[in-house]
Amino acid sequence: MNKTATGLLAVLATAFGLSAAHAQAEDYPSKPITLILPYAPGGGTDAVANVFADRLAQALGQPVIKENHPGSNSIIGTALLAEAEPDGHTLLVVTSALSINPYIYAQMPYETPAAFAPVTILTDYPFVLGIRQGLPFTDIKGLVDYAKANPGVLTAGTPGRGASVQLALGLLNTAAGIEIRDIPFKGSGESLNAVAGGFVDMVFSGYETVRPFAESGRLSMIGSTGTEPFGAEGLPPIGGVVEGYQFTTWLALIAPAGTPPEVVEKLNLTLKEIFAEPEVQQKLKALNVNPVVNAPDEALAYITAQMAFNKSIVESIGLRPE
Amino acid sequence: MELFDNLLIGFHSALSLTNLAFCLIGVMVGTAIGILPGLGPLATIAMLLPLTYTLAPVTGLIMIAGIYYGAQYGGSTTAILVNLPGESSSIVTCLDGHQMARKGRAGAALAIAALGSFFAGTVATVLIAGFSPLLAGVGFLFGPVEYFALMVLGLTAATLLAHGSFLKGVAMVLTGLILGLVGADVNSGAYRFTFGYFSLTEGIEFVAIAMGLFAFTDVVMNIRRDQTRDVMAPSLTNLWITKAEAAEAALPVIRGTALGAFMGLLPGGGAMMSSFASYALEKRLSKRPETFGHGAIAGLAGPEAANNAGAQTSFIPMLTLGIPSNGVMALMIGALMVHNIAPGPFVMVSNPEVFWGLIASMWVGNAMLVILNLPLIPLWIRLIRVSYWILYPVILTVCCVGLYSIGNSTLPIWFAAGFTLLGCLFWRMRAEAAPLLLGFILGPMMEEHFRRALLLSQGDPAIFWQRPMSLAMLGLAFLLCLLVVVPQLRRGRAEAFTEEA
Amino acid sequence: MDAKLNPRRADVESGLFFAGFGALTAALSLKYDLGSFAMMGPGMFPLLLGLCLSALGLAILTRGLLRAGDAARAVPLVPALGLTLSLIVFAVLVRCAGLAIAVPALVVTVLIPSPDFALRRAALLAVLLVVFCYLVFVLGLGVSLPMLSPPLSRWIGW
Repeated sequence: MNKTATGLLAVLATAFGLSAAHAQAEDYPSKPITLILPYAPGGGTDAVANVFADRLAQALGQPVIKENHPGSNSIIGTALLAEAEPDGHTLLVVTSALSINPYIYAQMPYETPAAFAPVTILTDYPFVLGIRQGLPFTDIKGLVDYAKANPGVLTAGTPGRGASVQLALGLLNTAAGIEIRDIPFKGSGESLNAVAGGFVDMVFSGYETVRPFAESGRLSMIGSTGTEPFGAEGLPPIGGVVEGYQFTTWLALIAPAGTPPEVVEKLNLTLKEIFAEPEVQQKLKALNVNPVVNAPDEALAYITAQMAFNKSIVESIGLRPE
Repeated sequence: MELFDNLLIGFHSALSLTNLAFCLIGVMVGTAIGILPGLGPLATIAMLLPLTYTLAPVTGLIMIAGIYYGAQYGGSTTAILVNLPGESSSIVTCLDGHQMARKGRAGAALAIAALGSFFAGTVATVLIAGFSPLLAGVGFLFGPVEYFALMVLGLTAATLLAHGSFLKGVAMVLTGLILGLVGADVNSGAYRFTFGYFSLTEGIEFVAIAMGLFAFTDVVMNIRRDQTRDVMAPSLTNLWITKAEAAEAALPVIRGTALGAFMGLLPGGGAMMSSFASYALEKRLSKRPETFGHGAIAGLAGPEAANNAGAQTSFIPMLTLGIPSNGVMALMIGALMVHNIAPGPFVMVSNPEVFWGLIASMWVGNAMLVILNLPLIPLWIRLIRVSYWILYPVILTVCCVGLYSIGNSTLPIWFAAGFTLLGCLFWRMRAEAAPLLLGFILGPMMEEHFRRALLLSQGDPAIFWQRPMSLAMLGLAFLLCLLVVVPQLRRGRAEAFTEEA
Repeated sequence: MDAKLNPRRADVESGLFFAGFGALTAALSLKYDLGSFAMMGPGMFPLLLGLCLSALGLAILTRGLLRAGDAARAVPLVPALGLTLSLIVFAVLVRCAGLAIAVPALVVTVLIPSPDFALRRAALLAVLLVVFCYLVFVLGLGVSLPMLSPPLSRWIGW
C-alpha cells in the first residue's frame, strides 16, 4: 500500500517535473537572452557572435543582448555564466581557453566541464603561421631545419600565458624537436605588430588578423596548423612537414549546468538552422572559420577530449597551475 | 591633384544628408559619454555597433568615429569644470584647465580646449589625407626596446607635471607604478597583489583612482571652502578668450599638434602619452614655469591639441594597413568586416568612398563639435554657478552610477572611496596626484617592454643603448632629470624656507 | 593652524608614508618568483620599485627632520569622512536595495554635515537625481541597474 503510494507519488512527481520542463522549453525564451562574451569588444569572438546573435534573436523572438566581460583569459566572463540562473537566458560564447584554463590556474571559480551544459561547438579554425621579412627561410621545412641548426635563436610572439597560441607553439617545439623561444605579449595585436616591425621572428594567429600584414608585405604566411591547405593562398599544413602536428581552436556556445535539456535542445536546433543559411555560411567563410554545430552531447565529448589534449601540451611545455 | 580629387570624393560622401545626420548623432553621443564619468567610448561603441550594421558601411564608420572624438571633447569639459579626468588623456587637462576655472576663467578654458582641439583635428585630418601611406610605418619602428625608452622618457616628464618638490614627484610616480602592478603579470601570467580576489586580476580601475584622487578630493576641499563662500564663481560677462589669452595659446597649440600627430602613430598609448609630453614640453619652454599648475594657458592649450591630434592620427594604421591601434579601432575593423570589406592596404582602392568619406567626416565632425560646444559654454558656466550644496551631490551621484556602470560592479566605488581618503592624505602631505596617475598607466607597460626586451636579447642589457632611437630617448630623459635636479639642488635651501602655505 | 606648530610635517609624514608603502611592497613581492636578469620573474620589478620607493621615502623623511620642508595642510575631516561614508552607503545599497534607495541615501549622507542641509531640499534634489540617473544611465545608456532590487520589489509587492 505504502509502496504503491510512494510509486504513484514518484510517477506524479516525474510527470509534473517533465511537464514543467516542457512548459519551460515551450515558453523559452520568456525574456531577453544575455550572451556573455568573455573578451574585450572587437575580437574574433565578437565577429562570430555578431554573425549569429541577431539571427538567433529573430528565430527565438526575444532580443539577444551581448555583454563583454573581459579578463583573466576568459575566466571572469565564464565565472559569471557559471553563477547565472540555469534557465537558458544566460549563455556564453567561449573559446578553447575553456579547456586550457583548468591546467593553467590553480584556483578556478568553477569546475570544467561539470559547471556547464554545452549547447554546441559553433566553429573551428586553425591558426596560420606568419614570419617576419628577412629570415633565411620561406617555408615550414626551411623553418624546422633552421631551428634545428640554431636552437634557441628563433622567437615567436604569443598573447600571454595559457593562450591557445602558446600551446600551438609548444606543440610545434615538442613535435619537431626544436626550440623556438616564447615572447609573451598583451594580446595578439601587439605580437603581430612586433613581428611586422621585425623585432620578433614569427607568430601564430587567426587568419583574418594576419592577412592585412601579409597584404602590406610586412610578414608572410607560410603555413597553417590545420590538416588541409587553408585560406585563399592554400597555406600548407605544418603537419605535412612535422609528423602528427595539428592544432585547432574553436568557439562553443555553453549554458550553465542544470539548464533544462529541452531548452538546450531548442537552442541547438535553432542554431543548426541558422548555421545552415547560405548568408551565414558566407559570412563565416569570409571570417575564415569553419561552421560546425553538432549535438550537445557531441559538444561535451569534444570539449572533454580537447581538455585531455591541451593538458598533455601544457604539461609537456612545463606550465603548472598557478 | 589626386589628393584633391580624393578629398572631393570624400566630402561628397561625408556631406550627404544621411552621413551628416549620423555624424551629428555620433558627436553628440560622444560628447555625452565623455562628460558622464564611467562608460568610455569603447563600451558605448560596442553597444551601438549592431545598430550600424543596417547602415551603409561609411555611415556606420562615420558615427563610430564621431563618438570616439566626441568623447575626447566631452572629457575635457568635465576635467575643466569639476576636475574629473574621465580618461587618462584628460589628467593633464585637469592640472591647469581646472585651475583656470577656479580663477573664473572656465569659459576661456573651455573655449581654448575646443578651439585648440579643432585646430589639431584639422591639421591631423590633412595629414591623414595627404600622408597616410608614408606615416603608416612609423609604428613599426618601435620595438620593445624603443617602447621602454619612450616610457622612461614619459615618466621623467611626469615628474615635471608636479609643481612641488621633485623628490615627492618621483615618489608619487613610483607609488603609481606599484599600484599599476596589481593584477595579472603579462609576461608570466602570475597574479600579483590580488590577495585572492578574481575581480582584482584586471588591476585597479583607472577611473576609480582618478575620481578618488582628483574629483572627490577636490569636492572635500571645496565643501570646506563653501562655508566661507570662497567657491569658484566664474563671471558670466567675459566668457570669451581675451586677445592676450589667445596669443598665449597659439604656439602651444601648434607644438602640441605636431607632438600629438606623431605620437598618435604609435600603437599602445601613444596618443595618451602625447598630452603628458606636450605639458612637459610647454613647462620647459615657458618663461614662467611657476605658473604651471596654477592656471597656465599653455599648460591647457598644448596638451588639449596634442590629445586630439593623437586621437585622430591613431586612425592611420587602421585605415592604411587594417591594423587596430586601440580597442575602438578594432571595433571599426569589425564594423567593416560585417559589410564584407576586408580592412587592409587595399581599402583605399577598393572602397574609396569609405576611406575618403571617413577622413572628410573627421573634419566635418570636428567642426560640428566646435559649433556644438561653444554655445554650450554659457550653459556649463550657469550649471557650475549653482550653489555648491547642489553641485557636489550631483557630481557624487553621477560618478557613483558611472563607476558602477563600468563593469556592473560596486568594487570601483569602494576603491574610489579608499582613494578619496588617500587623496586627502596626499593633499595634506603636499604630494601631487598627477604623477601617480601617470605612473599607474605607464608602469605595467614599462615593465612589460623592459622584460620583453631582455627576453629578446637573452639578458644582455646592451640592447638598450645599441639602438639609436632608444639611446636618444634615454639620453633625453637623463638630460631632463639633470635640468630639473641641478637647479633644485642649487637653490634648494633658499626655496625651502620661502615655500610656505 | 597645527601646521604652524611643526612646519616640517608634510615631509616627515610623506617620508614615512612612502618608506612604509615601499617596504610593504618589497616584502609582499618576495613571495613571487624573482627569476634572473634575462628571465625576470613576476617578483623582480615590484621588489625593485618597493626598494627604490622606501629609499626615496627615507630621503624625504631625513629632509623633513633636518630642516624646514613643506608644511602640512589641515584636512577638513568631517567632509572627508562624510564623503567617503556616502560612497560606501551607495555601494552597499545599490545592489541590495536599488537605485531609488541608494541615490537618496547618498545625497542625505553627504549633505547632513553641511550648514545648507534641509530635509526638503535634500529630498527634492534626491528625487531629481533618481529621475536623471534613470533617464540617462538606465534608459539612455542601457546600464543594467534596477531601480528597486528584485528582493525589495518582491517584498513590497507582497
